[in-house]
Amino acid sequence: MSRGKKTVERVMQLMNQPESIRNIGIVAHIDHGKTTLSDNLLAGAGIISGDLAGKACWMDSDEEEQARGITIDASNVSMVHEYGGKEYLINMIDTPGHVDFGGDVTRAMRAVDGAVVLVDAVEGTMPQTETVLRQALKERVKPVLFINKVDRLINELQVDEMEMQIRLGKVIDKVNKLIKGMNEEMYNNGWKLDAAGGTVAFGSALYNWAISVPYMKKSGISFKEVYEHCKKGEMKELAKKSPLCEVVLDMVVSFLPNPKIAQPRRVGVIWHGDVNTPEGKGMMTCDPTAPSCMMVTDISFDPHAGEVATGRLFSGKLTRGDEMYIMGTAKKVNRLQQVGIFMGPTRVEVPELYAGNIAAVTGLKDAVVGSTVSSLMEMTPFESLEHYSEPVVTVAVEAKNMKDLPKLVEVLRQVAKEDPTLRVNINEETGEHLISGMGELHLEIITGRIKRDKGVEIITSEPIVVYRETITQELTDPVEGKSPNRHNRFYFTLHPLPEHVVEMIKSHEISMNQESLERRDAMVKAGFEKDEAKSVKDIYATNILLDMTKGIQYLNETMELIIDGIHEALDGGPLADEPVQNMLIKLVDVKLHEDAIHRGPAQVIPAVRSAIKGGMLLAGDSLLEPLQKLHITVPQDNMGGATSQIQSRRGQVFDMASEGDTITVIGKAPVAELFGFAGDVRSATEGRAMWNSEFAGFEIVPSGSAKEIVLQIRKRKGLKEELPKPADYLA
Amino acid sequence: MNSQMNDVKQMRFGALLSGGKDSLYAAWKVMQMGSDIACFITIRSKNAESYMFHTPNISLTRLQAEASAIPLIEQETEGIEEKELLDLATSIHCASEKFHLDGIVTGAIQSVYQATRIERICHQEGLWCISPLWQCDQETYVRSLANEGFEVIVAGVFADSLDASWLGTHIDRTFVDRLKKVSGKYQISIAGEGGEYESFVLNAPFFKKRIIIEKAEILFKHGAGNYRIISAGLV
Repeated sequence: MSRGKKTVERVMQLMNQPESIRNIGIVAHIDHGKTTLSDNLLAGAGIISGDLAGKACWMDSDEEEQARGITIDASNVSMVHEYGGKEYLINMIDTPGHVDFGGDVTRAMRAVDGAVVLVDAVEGTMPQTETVLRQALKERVKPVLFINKVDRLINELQVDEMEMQIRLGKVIDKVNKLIKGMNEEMYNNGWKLDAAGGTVAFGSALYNWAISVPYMKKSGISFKEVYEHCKKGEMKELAKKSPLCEVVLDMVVSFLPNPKIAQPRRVGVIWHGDVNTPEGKGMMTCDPTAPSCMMVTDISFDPHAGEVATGRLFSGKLTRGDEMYIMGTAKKVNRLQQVGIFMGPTRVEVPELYAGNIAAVTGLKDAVVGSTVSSLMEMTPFESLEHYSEPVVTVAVEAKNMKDLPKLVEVLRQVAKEDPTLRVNINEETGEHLISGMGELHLEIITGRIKRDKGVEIITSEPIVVYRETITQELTDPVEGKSPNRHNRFYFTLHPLPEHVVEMIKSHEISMNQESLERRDAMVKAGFEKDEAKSVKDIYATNILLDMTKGIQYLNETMELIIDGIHEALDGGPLADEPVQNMLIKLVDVKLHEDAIHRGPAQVIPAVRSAIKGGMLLAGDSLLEPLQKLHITVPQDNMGGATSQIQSRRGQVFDMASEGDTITVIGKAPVAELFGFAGDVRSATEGRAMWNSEFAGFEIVPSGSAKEIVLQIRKRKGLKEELPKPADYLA
Repeated sequence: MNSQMNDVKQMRFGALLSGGKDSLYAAWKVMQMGSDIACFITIRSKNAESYMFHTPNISLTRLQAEASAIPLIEQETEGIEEKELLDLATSIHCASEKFHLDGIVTGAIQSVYQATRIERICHQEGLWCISPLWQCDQETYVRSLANEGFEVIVAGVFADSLDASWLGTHIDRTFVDRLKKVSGKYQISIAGEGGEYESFVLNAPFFKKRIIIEKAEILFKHGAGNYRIISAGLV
């Protein structure tokens, strides 16, 4: 305890010296040893005992995490490290590696400036390594590499010293290749990993040791010695001579940037405002005297303090009682109640917190994950947080006991606030609520948490796949939508949105957060005509609305309702009431009643909605299903079992790579066919398969099964059990 | 209902009659002030989408006029925007000549479009134009209908969130409560001023007989529906 307390005092001293701060995240594929590494670092900082490190899973603060042995939420900790006679404050976020929790990684990367990429020496880079690395580079977070489980190379695979070096070299090459492919500019500007340069370390988090070239020079230990110790199983010895926390934190301090260096590089990417404004300048220079700007990356619930918002403070400072504003909400003052930092599961209050730190505050009642918080009433918000994969599986939940009905609604709102990768759909009328997540496991954890932490007994349905709809043809002959009172008419044309434009929307190169001129230029670059480029009225998911009309009276005041109607159509397409994607909608003509009461929401919304829905059916509306890419590693003998598991699930195998006597089968299959895959593949391969999956996008359901699936969905949703016709929507 | 009402005592009015609650209630208000409703005027539009004139069951205003023992002037129009106003002007002129009218009563509540156009015609004819319901509190008004002895049904629905189940139901307290519940983001006007629903009056305090529906059918398509009265009689 006293050591812990001392740490707090040192942390507080360093907090207002940006040059001494490193905000880092540890990212890796599942099971490559992130939490074990984090524990080691904590032990080194004196927060937990050295003997426990490697076993305590201290950062897995959730019971569920400890029981399953995986990290589910990103958690934060601050610690002090001494290097070259100077003290440094290291704010670290541990992130989950399982694909179902990728959203946490996305959020953590917004808060940090540097990342320790962790790779298992035996397994090498895995699909999730690639995903998290991409996320880091996208946020301009600088990577260093830690190759873990080196002891396994020696003890399990019995490789000699020479082969060990070759294997480690291969891992580095592979990661470098990934970095180069993702961002060649940064790769050439010093982000290339280089063992001799010091941006790579090797070791075993389980046995608390590591080495790097600079540390070998500093301590005099040689690679040969390391190899010998390992071979003889003298791990404790090694841990004393070359402790992991020293090696890794030295690397962090020397090669990962402090906020002052990182922010000018990052602000341009994650914020599209004007850098010459006071807040822009403040963030570029990490200035504690500038207006405060913070991005919320996590919200958790503290039974005593209530909602705790965690996020990166890019400029200004936070003090208890400060008046803050949340962008995008009614400009109501949110007053900071507690200002603090996270030290593992506990929060420590501080009197003041300065730019460049990761803050944990209470009192921001209007904030959600992704909110931009500022002392200014208005500022350009940060680029929104988005994750590469999308929720693809849904379960319906309802309260087991009638008395819990209102509480469940409350709890679901909390859960949605805590985890933005979840989509929660609350239906107070039927009491049956929908939760959509990244996969089966993700939803199991969430529903488990509702039962355990929040104490609400719930009944959960079988998981249901989330589909999408999109058009496959153009509709250039305008479709007409008439309001129920027949006094207003709207005319639209519909066009499939080209793939490269969809990518630009996903990467925020085209977004409604941009200034209109900037957006116009991006649209022109994407290949739109100038008059189209300046007419963007809305971007919803990956759909764009253009207003191509000219000089129509009352249209401006009606536009919001038109957008509402479009959102209703896009939230549930005509085919199966599933979300619509990749569509370009052009409003080409409008006729409006001059009396405002005759063109209210009850008229405009249904007119627009049915025009879009009817139009989609004329434009070849099709059902898309989510797919998952599968990597199954099995011994040669069991290969047949693995491939048949993919093929029997409407899947396809597109690569098989053998290494020694194991073979890796790579393929993909629809999510709908993958329920229960874990158990089946285990029995088909006598339990010898190692496998993982990642989101592989949406694809059109093959025409052979499309009708059947559409009718199934319609039946489940209580819609008419027949394929819809344009005449159902258009008069 | 407003200060202007004191001046209308002992005058003779023609009331525009659509068959719906607003026109008949407005006429009733004028009667209560001590003035005469000398005639009803009905414009029948051939265009189902007319901006000006409400259409469901318009032919049945004859029954309402008969039930209240007040003569009816009927005029047909093609229902072409703005041109239909000429037909309205003609019929107001005829009615005014025939019944020596001092003014016209309309059931307008909020529709500036309708009210200004009727007022312009009255002005040209040198007639008063009064709208006793103008800017009234819609909920109070609709709730008072049943209390004051009006029997009104929903004859048409033209708004999102109003479906076929509303057609033919009585406009009473239950109706108002139900309407408020579904209105939500659609901001449906309680009195149907945005054309969200249309009504038909079966009985009013000044009716000598009441209308009974013998046969009717419900038509609902593309978010809009009508309660079409096929045959009806007086008792």
